[in-house]
Amino acid sequence: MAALLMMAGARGVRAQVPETHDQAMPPNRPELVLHAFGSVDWSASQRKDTPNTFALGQLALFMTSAINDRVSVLAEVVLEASGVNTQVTTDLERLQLTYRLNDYLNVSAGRYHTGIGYYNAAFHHGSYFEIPIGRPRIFAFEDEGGVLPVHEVGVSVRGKVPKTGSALSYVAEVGNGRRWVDLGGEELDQNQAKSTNLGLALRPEAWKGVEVGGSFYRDDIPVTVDQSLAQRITAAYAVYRTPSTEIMAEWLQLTQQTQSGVSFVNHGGYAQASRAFGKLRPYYRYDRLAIATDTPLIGSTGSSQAHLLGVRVDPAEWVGLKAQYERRREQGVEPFNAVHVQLVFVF
Amino acid sequence: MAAARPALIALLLSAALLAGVETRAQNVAGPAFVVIVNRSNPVDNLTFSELRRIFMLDTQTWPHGRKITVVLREKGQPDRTDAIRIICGLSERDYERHILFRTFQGSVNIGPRSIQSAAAMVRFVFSAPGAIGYVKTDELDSSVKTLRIDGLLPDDAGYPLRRALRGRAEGDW
Repeated sequence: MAALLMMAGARGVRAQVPETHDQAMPPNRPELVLHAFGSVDWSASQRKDTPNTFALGQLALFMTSAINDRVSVLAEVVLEASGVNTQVTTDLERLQLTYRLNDYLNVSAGRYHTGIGYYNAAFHHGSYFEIPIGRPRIFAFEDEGGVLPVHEVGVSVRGKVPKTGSALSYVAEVGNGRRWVDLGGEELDQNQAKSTNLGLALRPEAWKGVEVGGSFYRDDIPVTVDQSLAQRITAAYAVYRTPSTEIMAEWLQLTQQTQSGVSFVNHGGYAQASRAFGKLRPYYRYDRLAIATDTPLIGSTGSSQAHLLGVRVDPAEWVGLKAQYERRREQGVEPFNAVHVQLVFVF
Repeated sequence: MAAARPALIALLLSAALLAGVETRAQNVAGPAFVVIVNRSNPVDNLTFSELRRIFMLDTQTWPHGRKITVVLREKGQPDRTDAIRIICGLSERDYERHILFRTFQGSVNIGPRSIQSAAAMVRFVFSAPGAIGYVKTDELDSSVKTLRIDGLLPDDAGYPLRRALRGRAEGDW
Protein backbone atom coordinates (compact mmCIF):
# COMPACT_ATOMS: atom_id res chain seq x y z
CA MET A 1 0.00 0.00 0.00
CA ALA A 2 2.82 2.38 0.87
CA ALA A 3 4.38 1.60 -2.48
CA LEU A 4 1.13 2.44 -4.24
CA LEU A 5 0.87 5.75 -2.45
CA MET A 6 4.50 6.57 -3.23
CA MET A 7 3.90 5.75 -6.88
CA ALA A 8 0.90 8.05 -6.88
CA GLY A 9 2.96 10.82 -5.36
CA ALA A 10 5.75 10.34 -7.83
CA ARG A 11 3.43 10.74 -10.79
CA GLY A 12 1.58 13.68 -9.35
CA VAL A 13 -1.92 12.73 -8.31
CA ARG A 14 -4.54 14.92 -9.93
CA ALA A 15 -8.21 15.29 -9.30
CA GLN A 16 -10.42 13.60 -11.89
CA VAL A 17 -12.00 16.63 -13.49
CA PRO A 18 -10.34 19.91 -12.54
CA GLU A 19 -7.05 19.24 -14.21
CA THR A 20 -4.99 22.14 -15.43
CA HIS A 21 -2.85 21.69 -18.49
CA ASP A 22 -0.62 24.73 -18.60
CA GLN A 23 1.25 23.93 -21.77
CA ALA A 24 -1.93 23.01 -23.63
CA MET A 25 -0.17 19.94 -24.93
CA PRO A 26 -1.35 16.33 -24.68
CA PRO A 27 0.52 14.40 -21.96
CA ASN A 28 3.25 12.07 -23.14
CA ARG A 29 3.23 9.72 -20.14
CA PRO A 30 0.56 7.83 -18.18
CA GLU A 31 -1.27 9.78 -15.51
CA LEU A 32 -2.65 8.27 -12.34
CA VAL A 33 -6.04 9.28 -10.99
CA LEU A 34 -6.49 8.47 -7.31
CA HIS A 35 -9.60 8.88 -5.18
CA ALA A 36 -10.54 7.65 -1.73
CA PHE A 37 -14.10 6.91 -0.62
CA GLY A 38 -14.74 6.76 3.10
CA SER A 39 -17.56 6.70 5.63
CA VAL A 40 -18.25 7.03 9.34
CA ASP A 41 -21.33 5.25 10.65
CA TRP A 42 -23.57 5.19 13.69
CA SER A 43 -26.33 2.68 14.21
CA ALA A 44 -28.82 1.68 16.87
CA SER A 45 -31.25 -1.20 16.93
CA GLN A 46 -34.10 -2.52 19.05
CA ARG A 47 -32.33 -5.84 19.23
CA LYS A 48 -31.03 -6.27 22.75
CA ASP A 49 -27.85 -7.99 21.62
CA THR A 50 -26.88 -5.00 19.45
CA PRO A 51 -25.78 -1.86 21.31
CA ASN A 52 -25.76 1.45 19.51
CA THR A 53 -22.32 2.08 18.14
CA PHE A 54 -20.11 4.27 16.00
CA ALA A 55 -18.04 2.56 13.36
CA LEU A 56 -15.60 3.32 10.62
CA GLY A 57 -16.85 2.21 7.25
CA GLN A 58 -14.72 0.94 4.45
CA LEU A 59 -12.02 3.18 3.05
CA ALA A 60 -11.90 2.41 -0.65
CA LEU A 61 -8.77 3.56 -2.46
CA PHE A 62 -9.58 3.79 -6.12
CA MET A 63 -6.97 4.36 -8.79
CA THR A 64 -7.02 4.30 -12.54
CA SER A 65 -4.57 5.14 -15.26
CA ALA A 66 -4.58 5.18 -19.04
CA ILE A 67 -1.36 3.51 -20.09
CA ASN A 68 -2.05 4.53 -23.66
CA ASP A 69 -5.07 5.34 -25.86
CA ARG A 70 -6.29 1.78 -25.75
CA VAL A 71 -5.01 0.23 -22.52
CA SER A 72 -5.95 1.28 -19.02
CA VAL A 73 -5.68 -0.16 -15.55
CA LEU A 74 -8.06 0.15 -12.59
CA ALA A 75 -7.57 -0.93 -9.00
CA GLU A 76 -9.71 -0.69 -5.90
CA VAL A 77 -8.17 -1.48 -2.55
CA VAL A 78 -10.43 -1.51 0.49
CA LEU A 79 -9.16 -0.92 4.01
CA GLU A 80 -11.41 -2.01 6.86
CA ALA A 81 -10.63 -1.00 10.41
CA SER A 82 -11.32 -3.42 13.21
CA GLY A 83 -14.06 -2.38 15.58
CA VAL A 84 -12.01 -3.15 18.67
CA ASN A 85 -8.48 -2.06 17.86
CA THR A 86 -6.44 -0.31 15.23
CA GLN A 87 -5.87 -3.36 13.08
CA VAL A 88 -6.67 -2.89 9.42
CA THR A 89 -7.54 -5.56 6.93
CA THR A 90 -6.80 -4.95 3.27
CA ASP A 91 -8.72 -6.42 0.34
CA LEU A 92 -7.94 -6.05 -3.33
CA GLU A 93 -11.54 -5.76 -4.50
CA ARG A 94 -10.89 -4.89 -8.13
CA LEU A 95 -7.88 -5.04 -10.41
CA GLN A 96 -8.58 -4.79 -14.11
CA LEU A 97 -6.44 -4.30 -17.15
CA THR A 98 -8.69 -3.11 -19.96
CA TYR A 99 -8.14 -2.97 -23.68
CA ARG A 100 -10.58 -0.61 -25.43
CA LEU A 101 -10.70 -1.23 -29.14
CA ASN A 102 -13.65 1.12 -29.54
CA ASP A 103 -17.06 1.73 -27.97
CA TYR A 104 -18.20 -1.70 -29.15
CA LEU A 105 -15.44 -3.83 -27.66
CA ASN A 106 -13.75 -3.39 -24.29
CA VAL A 107 -11.94 -6.42 -22.90
CA SER A 108 -10.91 -6.51 -19.24
CA ALA A 109 -8.93 -9.14 -17.41
CA GLY A 110 -8.56 -9.37 -13.66
CA ARG A 111 -10.90 -9.12 -10.68
CA TYR A 112 -14.13 -7.26 -11.27
CA HIS A 113 -17.68 -6.88 -10.03
CA THR A 114 -19.80 -9.46 -11.82
CA GLY A 115 -22.28 -7.95 -14.25
CA ILE A 116 -25.26 -9.60 -12.58
CA GLY A 117 -28.20 -7.23 -12.87
CA TYR A 118 -27.65 -3.51 -12.42
CA TYR A 119 -26.66 -2.71 -8.86
CA ASN A 120 -23.57 -4.85 -8.64
CA ALA A 121 -21.87 -3.35 -11.67
CA ALA A 122 -22.99 0.20 -10.89
CA PHE A 123 -22.11 0.46 -7.20
CA HIS A 124 -18.88 -0.68 -5.69
CA HIS A 125 -17.27 -0.38 -2.28
CA GLY A 126 -17.32 3.36 -1.83
CA SER A 127 -20.80 4.14 -0.54
CA TYR A 128 -20.79 7.81 -1.60
CA PHE A 129 -22.82 7.17 -4.75
CA GLU A 130 -25.42 4.99 -3.06
CA ILE A 131 -28.40 6.98 -1.85
CA PRO A 132 -29.57 4.67 0.98
CA ILE A 133 -27.21 3.31 3.62
CA GLY A 134 -26.06 -0.16 2.64
CA ARG A 135 -26.53 -2.38 -0.36
CA PRO A 136 -29.72 -4.32 -1.04
CA ARG A 137 -29.54 -7.63 0.83
CA ILE A 138 -29.41 -9.63 -2.40
CA PHE A 139 -26.25 -7.75 -3.41
CA ALA A 140 -24.46 -8.04 -0.05
CA PHE A 141 -20.74 -8.71 -0.38
CA GLU A 142 -19.54 -12.29 0.00
CA ASP A 143 -17.77 -11.60 3.30
CA GLU A 144 -20.96 -10.04 4.69
CA GLY A 145 -23.12 -13.10 4.14
CA GLY A 146 -24.03 -12.38 0.54
CA VAL A 147 -25.61 -15.03 -1.64
CA LEU A 148 -24.20 -13.94 -5.01
CA PRO A 149 -20.82 -14.20 -6.66
CA VAL A 150 -20.35 -10.43 -6.37
CA HIS A 151 -16.70 -10.57 -7.43
CA GLU A 152 -15.08 -12.72 -10.09
CA VAL A 153 -11.61 -13.28 -11.41
CA GLY A 154 -11.61 -13.75 -15.14
CA VAL A 155 -12.26 -11.92 -18.37
CA SER A 156 -15.05 -9.43 -18.96
CA VAL A 157 -16.08 -8.08 -22.36
CA ARG A 158 -18.33 -5.02 -22.57
CA GLY A 159 -19.51 -2.62 -25.19
CA LYS A 160 -22.32 -1.16 -27.17
CA VAL A 161 -24.17 -3.22 -29.74
CA PRO A 162 -23.46 -1.77 -33.21
CA LYS A 163 -26.33 -0.36 -35.27
CA THR A 164 -28.44 0.35 -32.19
CA GLY A 165 -27.62 4.03 -31.90
CA SER A 166 -25.69 3.41 -28.67
CA ALA A 167 -28.93 2.35 -27.00
CA LEU A 168 -28.12 -1.32 -26.49
CA SER A 169 -25.07 -2.54 -24.61
CA TYR A 170 -23.84 -5.97 -23.64
CA VAL A 171 -21.59 -7.70 -21.14
CA ALA A 172 -20.10 -11.17 -21.43
CA GLU A 173 -17.93 -12.63 -18.69
CA VAL A 174 -16.00 -15.82 -18.08
CA GLY A 175 -14.58 -16.34 -14.61
CA ASN A 176 -13.65 -18.75 -11.90
CA GLY A 177 -16.94 -18.42 -10.07
CA ARG A 178 -17.26 -18.01 -6.35
CA ARG A 179 -15.27 -20.30 -4.08
CA TRP A 180 -18.08 -21.51 -1.83
CA VAL A 181 -16.47 -24.55 -0.22
CA ASP A 182 -12.82 -25.00 0.64
CA LEU A 183 -11.79 -28.33 -0.84
CA GLY A 184 -8.11 -27.65 -0.29
CA GLY A 185 -5.54 -26.44 -2.75
CA GLU A 186 -4.43 -22.92 -3.50
CA GLU A 187 -6.21 -22.48 -6.81
CA LEU A 188 -8.93 -19.84 -6.96
CA ASP A 189 -11.16 -22.20 -8.95
CA GLN A 190 -11.65 -25.71 -7.67
CA ASN A 191 -12.98 -27.34 -10.81
CA GLN A 192 -12.59 -27.13 -14.56
CA ALA A 193 -15.97 -25.47 -15.13
CA LYS A 194 -15.89 -21.72 -15.57
CA SER A 195 -18.69 -19.38 -14.66
CA THR A 196 -20.27 -17.44 -17.49
CA ASN A 197 -22.47 -14.38 -17.42
CA LEU A 198 -24.30 -12.64 -20.24
CA GLY A 199 -26.19 -9.39 -19.93
CA LEU A 200 -27.98 -6.86 -22.10
CA ALA A 201 -29.02 -3.31 -21.23
CA LEU A 202 -31.21 -0.91 -23.18
CA ARG A 203 -30.90 2.85 -22.68
CA PRO A 204 -33.27 4.55 -25.11
CA GLU A 205 -31.92 7.86 -26.37
CA ALA A 206 -35.37 9.42 -26.18
CA TRP A 207 -35.79 8.57 -22.48
CA LYS A 208 -32.75 10.01 -20.73
CA GLY A 209 -31.89 8.18 -17.54
CA VAL A 210 -33.96 5.09 -18.32
CA GLU A 211 -32.26 1.72 -18.44
CA VAL A 212 -33.82 -1.72 -18.59
CA GLY A 213 -31.88 -4.91 -18.77
CA GLY A 214 -31.21 -8.40 -17.62
CA SER A 215 -28.51 -10.98 -17.21
CA PHE A 216 -28.03 -14.72 -16.96
CA TYR A 217 -25.24 -16.29 -14.94
CA ARG A 218 -24.30 -19.95 -14.73
CA ASP A 219 -21.68 -21.95 -12.90
CA ASP A 220 -20.98 -25.47 -11.64
CA ILE A 221 -19.96 -25.29 -8.01
CA PRO A 222 -17.94 -28.16 -6.50
CA VAL A 223 -19.42 -28.98 -3.10
CA THR A 224 -17.37 -32.12 -2.48
CA VAL A 225 -14.48 -33.69 -4.34
CA ASP A 226 -16.85 -35.57 -6.68
CA GLN A 227 -20.14 -33.66 -6.35
CA SER A 228 -21.10 -30.36 -7.89
CA LEU A 229 -24.08 -28.05 -7.93
CA ALA A 230 -25.41 -26.27 -10.99
CA GLN A 231 -26.08 -22.61 -10.22
CA ARG A 232 -28.15 -20.29 -12.42
CA ILE A 233 -28.87 -16.65 -11.63
CA THR A 234 -31.36 -14.70 -13.70
CA ALA A 235 -31.70 -10.96 -13.14
CA ALA A 236 -34.03 -8.32 -14.56
CA TYR A 237 -34.14 -4.62 -13.76
CA ALA A 238 -35.59 -1.26 -14.65
CA VAL A 239 -33.85 1.95 -13.62
CA TYR A 240 -34.51 5.65 -13.99
CA ARG A 241 -31.57 7.72 -12.73
CA THR A 242 -30.94 11.42 -13.17
CA PRO A 243 -29.04 13.74 -10.83
CA SER A 244 -32.28 14.62 -9.04
CA THR A 245 -34.39 11.46 -9.31
CA GLU A 246 -33.67 7.80 -8.83
CA ILE A 247 -36.15 4.97 -9.28
CA MET A 248 -34.70 1.48 -9.34
CA ALA A 249 -36.24 -1.97 -9.22
CA GLU A 250 -34.49 -5.27 -9.64
CA TRP A 251 -35.45 -8.89 -9.17
CA LEU A 252 -33.26 -11.99 -9.23
CA GLN A 253 -33.97 -15.68 -9.34
CA LEU A 254 -31.34 -18.02 -7.92
CA THR A 255 -31.61 -21.65 -9.00
CA GLN A 256 -29.42 -24.43 -7.71
CA GLN A 257 -29.68 -27.98 -8.94
CA THR A 258 -27.97 -31.02 -7.48
CA GLN A 259 -26.54 -33.78 -9.66
CA SER A 260 -29.51 -35.93 -8.68
CA GLY A 261 -31.83 -33.34 -10.23
CA VAL A 262 -33.25 -31.67 -7.12
CA SER A 263 -33.80 -27.97 -7.73
CA PHE A 264 -33.92 -25.10 -5.25
CA VAL A 265 -35.36 -21.86 -6.54
CA ASN A 266 -35.01 -18.69 -4.48
CA HIS A 267 -35.60 -15.01 -5.09
CA GLY A 268 -34.47 -11.61 -4.00
CA GLY A 269 -34.70 -8.02 -5.06
CA TYR A 270 -35.43 -4.47 -4.14
CA ALA A 271 -37.27 -1.37 -5.25
CA GLN A 272 -36.12 2.09 -4.26
CA ALA A 273 -36.90 5.69 -5.05
CA SER A 274 -35.48 9.08 -4.15
CA ARG A 275 -35.96 12.65 -5.24
CA ALA A 276 -33.79 15.68 -4.48
CA PHE A 277 -35.47 18.82 -3.15
CA GLY A 278 -32.60 21.26 -3.04
CA LYS A 279 -29.98 19.74 -0.77
CA LEU A 280 -32.45 17.35 0.85
CA ARG A 281 -33.05 13.98 -0.73
CA PRO A 282 -35.62 11.70 0.90
CA TYR A 283 -35.58 8.07 -0.12
CA TYR A 284 -37.29 4.75 0.37
CA ARG A 285 -36.22 1.18 -0.33
CA TYR A 286 -38.09 -2.09 -0.09
CA ASP A 287 -35.60 -4.90 0.32
CA ARG A 288 -36.52 -8.59 0.02
CA LEU A 289 -34.60 -11.83 0.13
CA ALA A 290 -36.41 -15.19 0.12
CA ILE A 291 -34.08 -18.13 0.65
CA ALA A 292 -35.41 -21.57 1.64
CA THR A 293 -33.44 -22.91 4.57
CA ASP A 294 -32.81 -26.28 2.91
CA THR A 295 -31.02 -24.67 -0.05
CA PRO A 296 -27.42 -25.87 -0.32
CA LEU A 297 -24.69 -23.30 0.40
CA ILE A 298 -26.99 -20.30 1.00
CA GLY A 299 -29.83 -21.81 3.07
CA SER A 300 -28.42 -20.47 6.35
CA THR A 301 -28.86 -16.92 5.06
CA GLY A 302 -32.60 -17.32 5.44
CA SER A 303 -35.22 -14.84 4.35
CA SER A 304 -35.50 -11.18 5.21
CA GLN A 305 -37.63 -8.20 4.40
CA ALA A 306 -36.99 -4.55 5.19
CA HIS A 307 -38.50 -1.13 4.64
CA LEU A 308 -35.91 1.65 4.63
CA LEU A 309 -36.91 5.27 4.92
CA GLY A 310 -34.32 7.99 5.06
CA VAL A 311 -33.02 11.33 3.97
CA ARG A 312 -29.71 12.33 2.49
CA VAL A 313 -28.25 15.80 2.58
CA ASP A 314 -25.05 16.90 0.87
CA PRO A 315 -23.78 19.77 3.05
CA ALA A 316 -20.67 20.28 0.95
CA GLU A 317 -19.20 19.11 -2.30
CA TRP A 318 -18.22 15.45 -2.10
CA VAL A 319 -19.70 15.06 1.38
CA GLY A 320 -23.02 13.37 2.12
CA LEU A 321 -24.92 12.74 5.33
CA LYS A 322 -27.60 10.05 5.45
CA ALA A 323 -30.08 9.27 8.22
CA GLN A 324 -32.15 6.15 7.85
CA TYR A 325 -34.92 4.33 9.69
CA GLU A 326 -35.39 0.62 9.06
CA ARG A 327 -38.17 -1.79 9.85
CA ARG A 328 -36.58 -5.20 9.37
CA ARG A 329 -38.02 -8.68 9.52
CA GLU A 330 -35.58 -11.60 9.50
CA GLN A 331 -36.19 -15.29 9.67
CA GLY A 332 -36.19 -16.59 13.24
CA VAL A 333 -35.99 -13.12 14.75
CA GLU A 334 -38.73 -10.81 16.03
CA PRO A 335 -39.28 -7.84 13.70
CA PHE A 336 -37.25 -4.90 14.88
CA ASN A 337 -36.59 -1.24 14.18
CA ALA A 338 -33.17 0.26 13.58
CA VAL A 339 -31.67 3.66 12.92
CA HIS A 340 -28.51 4.34 10.95
CA VAL A 341 -26.57 7.52 10.30
CA GLN A 342 -23.75 7.59 7.78
CA LEU A 343 -21.30 10.29 6.77
CA VAL A 344 -19.82 9.60 3.34
CA PHE A 345 -17.07 11.48 1.55
CA VAL A 346 -14.72 11.43 -1.40
CA PHE A 347 -11.33 13.01 -1.64
CA MET B 1 -50.56 61.41 -3.88
CA ALA B 2 -53.37 60.16 -6.12
CA ALA B 3 -51.51 61.44 -9.18
CA ALA B 4 -48.33 59.79 -8.05
CA ARG B 5 -49.90 56.31 -8.04
CA PRO B 6 -50.37 56.00 -11.86
CA ALA B 7 -46.86 57.30 -12.32
CA LEU B 8 -45.52 54.70 -9.96
CA ILE B 9 -47.46 51.97 -11.77
CA ALA B 10 -46.20 53.21 -15.12
CA LEU B 11 -42.66 53.25 -13.79
CA LEU B 12 -42.95 49.69 -12.52
CA LEU B 13 -44.52 48.54 -15.81
CA SER B 14 -41.77 50.24 -17.77
CA ALA B 15 -39.12 48.62 -15.63
CA ALA B 16 -40.75 45.23 -16.10
CA LEU B 17 -41.00 45.72 -19.84
CA LEU B 18 -37.41 46.89 -20.05
CA ALA B 19 -36.30 43.88 -18.08
CA GLY B 20 -38.23 41.68 -20.49
CA VAL B 21 -36.71 43.38 -23.49
CA GLU B 22 -33.27 43.00 -21.98
CA THR B 23 -33.84 39.33 -21.31
CA ARG B 24 -35.07 38.72 -24.85
CA ALA B 25 -32.12 40.67 -26.18
CA GLN B 26 -29.75 38.43 -24.23
CA ASN B 27 -31.47 35.35 -25.56
CA VAL B 28 -31.10 36.50 -29.13
CA ALA B 29 -27.70 38.11 -28.99
CA GLY B 30 -25.79 35.63 -26.85
CA PRO B 31 -22.54 34.38 -28.34
CA ALA B 32 -22.42 30.83 -29.61
CA PHE B 33 -19.97 28.09 -28.76
CA VAL B 34 -18.13 26.58 -31.68
CA VAL B 35 -17.23 22.92 -31.37
CA ILE B 36 -13.68 22.33 -32.52
CA VAL B 37 -11.66 19.25 -33.38
CA ASN B 38 -8.23 18.56 -34.81
CA ARG B 39 -7.92 19.27 -38.52
CA SER B 40 -6.99 15.61 -39.17
CA ASN B 41 -10.36 14.46 -37.79
CA PRO B 42 -12.55 13.25 -40.69
CA VAL B 43 -15.79 14.03 -38.83
CA ASP B 44 -17.55 17.16 -40.11
CA ASN B 45 -20.91 16.98 -38.39
CA LEU B 46 -22.39 15.67 -35.14
CA THR B 47 -25.97 15.52 -34.04
CA PHE B 48 -26.67 17.25 -30.77
CA SER B 49 -27.32 13.82 -29.21
CA GLU B 50 -23.95 12.56 -30.41
CA LEU B 51 -22.27 15.68 -29.01
CA ARG B 52 -23.99 15.16 -25.69
CA ARG B 53 -22.92 11.52 -25.52
CA ILE B 54 -19.33 12.55 -26.21
CA PHE B 55 -19.27 15.17 -23.45
CA MET B 56 -21.00 12.75 -21.06
CA LEU B 57 -18.26 10.24 -21.96
CA ASP B 58 -20.86 7.71 -23.10
CA THR B 59 -19.11 7.74 -26.47
CA GLN B 60 -15.34 7.55 -26.15
CA THR B 61 -14.06 6.77 -29.62
CA TRP B 62 -14.48 8.50 -32.98
CA PRO B 63 -15.99 6.48 -35.82
CA HIS B 64 -12.50 6.10 -37.29
CA GLY B 65 -11.33 4.47 -34.05
CA ARG B 66 -9.29 7.18 -32.38
CA LYS B 67 -9.91 7.81 -28.68
CA ILE B 68 -11.87 10.99 -27.93
CA THR B 69 -10.35 13.48 -25.51
CA VAL B 70 -12.96 15.93 -24.21
CA VAL B 71 -11.58 19.33 -23.33
CA LEU B 72 -13.34 21.78 -21.02
CA ARG B 73 -12.41 25.12 -19.52
CA GLU B 74 -11.27 25.17 -15.92
CA LYS B 75 -13.60 24.59 -13.00
CA GLY B 76 -15.74 27.57 -12.11
CA GLN B 77 -15.19 29.47 -15.37
CA PRO B 78 -18.43 30.63 -17.04
CA ASP B 79 -17.36 29.06 -20.32
CA ARG B 80 -17.22 25.71 -18.54
CA THR B 81 -20.48 25.91 -16.62
CA ASP B 82 -22.36 27.25 -19.66
CA ALA B 83 -21.00 24.56 -21.96
CA ILE B 84 -21.88 21.79 -19.50
CA ARG B 85 -25.36 23.24 -19.03
CA ILE B 86 -26.06 23.71 -22.74
CA ILE B 87 -24.55 20.47 -23.99
CA CYS B 88 -25.25 18.10 -21.12
CA GLY B 89 -28.17 19.79 -19.37
CA LEU B 90 -26.35 19.51 -16.05
CA SER B 91 -24.87 21.76 -13.40
CA GLU B 92 -21.10 21.62 -13.11
CA ARG B 93 -21.41 19.74 -9.81
CA ASP B 94 -23.75 17.10 -11.24
CA TYR B 95 -21.47 16.74 -14.23
CA GLU B 96 -18.45 16.09 -12.04
CA ARG B 97 -20.41 13.54 -10.01
CA HIS B 98 -21.46 11.84 -13.23
CA ILE B 99 -17.86 11.66 -14.47
CA LEU B 100 -16.58 10.31 -11.16
CA PHE B 101 -19.43 7.77 -11.04
CA ARG B 102 -18.57 6.53 -14.53
CA THR B 103 -14.88 6.44 -13.59
CA PHE B 104 -15.64 4.46 -10.43
CA GLN B 105 -17.70 2.04 -12.50
CA GLY B 106 -14.67 1.49 -14.70
CA SER B 107 -16.42 2.88 -17.79
CA VAL B 108 -14.07 5.87 -18.00
CA ASN B 109 -10.39 5.91 -17.19
CA ILE B 110 -9.49 9.56 -17.61
CA GLY B 111 -12.07 12.33 -17.43
CA PRO B 112 -12.21 15.52 -19.48
CA ARG B 113 -9.14 17.73 -19.58
CA SER B 114 -9.42 21.19 -18.10
CA ILE B 115 -7.78 24.05 -19.93
CA GLN B 116 -7.22 27.50 -18.52
CA SER B 117 -7.95 29.66 -21.57
CA ALA B 118 -9.56 29.60 -24.97
CA ALA B 119 -6.20 30.07 -26.67
CA ALA B 120 -4.79 27.11 -24.75
CA MET B 121 -7.82 25.03 -25.72
CA VAL B 122 -7.27 25.78 -29.39
CA ARG B 123 -3.59 24.87 -29.05
CA PHE B 124 -4.49 21.62 -27.28
CA VAL B 125 -7.01 20.59 -29.94
CA PHE B 126 -4.47 21.51 -32.61
CA SER B 127 -1.94 19.18 -30.93
CA ALA B 128 -4.21 16.25 -30.00
CA PRO B 129 -5.72 14.35 -32.96
CA GLY B 130 -8.63 12.93 -30.91
CA ALA B 131 -9.52 16.07 -28.97
CA ILE B 132 -12.86 17.88 -29.01
CA GLY B 133 -13.35 21.26 -27.39
CA TYR B 134 -15.23 24.48 -27.84
CA VAL B 135 -14.56 28.20 -28.01
CA LYS B 136 -16.60 31.29 -28.67
CA THR B 137 -16.82 32.43 -32.27
CA ASP B 138 -14.42 35.33 -31.74
CA GLU B 139 -11.82 32.98 -30.17
CA LEU B 140 -11.63 30.67 -33.17
CA ASP B 141 -8.70 30.44 -35.53
CA SER B 142 -7.88 28.35 -38.59
CA SER B 143 -5.56 25.93 -36.80
CA VAL B 144 -8.55 23.77 -35.81
CA LYS B 145 -11.64 22.46 -37.55
CA THR B 146 -15.17 23.61 -36.77
CA LEU B 147 -17.86 20.95 -36.52
CA ARG B 148 -21.42 21.41 -37.68
CA ILE B 149 -23.99 20.49 -35.05
CA ASP B 150 -27.19 19.05 -36.51
CA GLY B 151 -25.85 20.33 -39.82
CA LEU B 152 -25.68 23.92 -38.58
CA LEU B 153 -22.87 26.40 -38.07
CA PRO B 154 -22.92 29.17 -35.42
CA ASP B 155 -24.27 31.79 -37.83
CA ASP B 156 -27.20 29.60 -38.86
CA ALA B 157 -30.63 30.03 -37.35
CA GLY B 158 -31.44 27.31 -34.84
CA TYR B 159 -27.81 26.56 -33.99
CA PRO B 160 -28.13 24.63 -30.70
CA LEU B 161 -25.05 25.92 -28.86
CA ARG B 162 -26.03 29.53 -28.45
CA ARG B 163 -24.84 30.63 -25.04
CA ALA B 164 -27.95 32.45 -23.90
CA LEU B 165 -30.12 29.56 -24.96
CA ARG B 166 -31.17 28.06 -21.68
CA GLY B 167 -30.79 24.29 -21.53
CA ARG B 168 -33.22 22.03 -19.82
CA ALA B 169 -33.59 22.48 -16.09
CA GLU B 170 -30.53 21.29 -14.26
CA GLY B 171 -30.97 17.84 -12.83
CA ASP B 172 -33.65 16.92 -15.36
CA TRP B 173 -32.13 15.31 -18.39
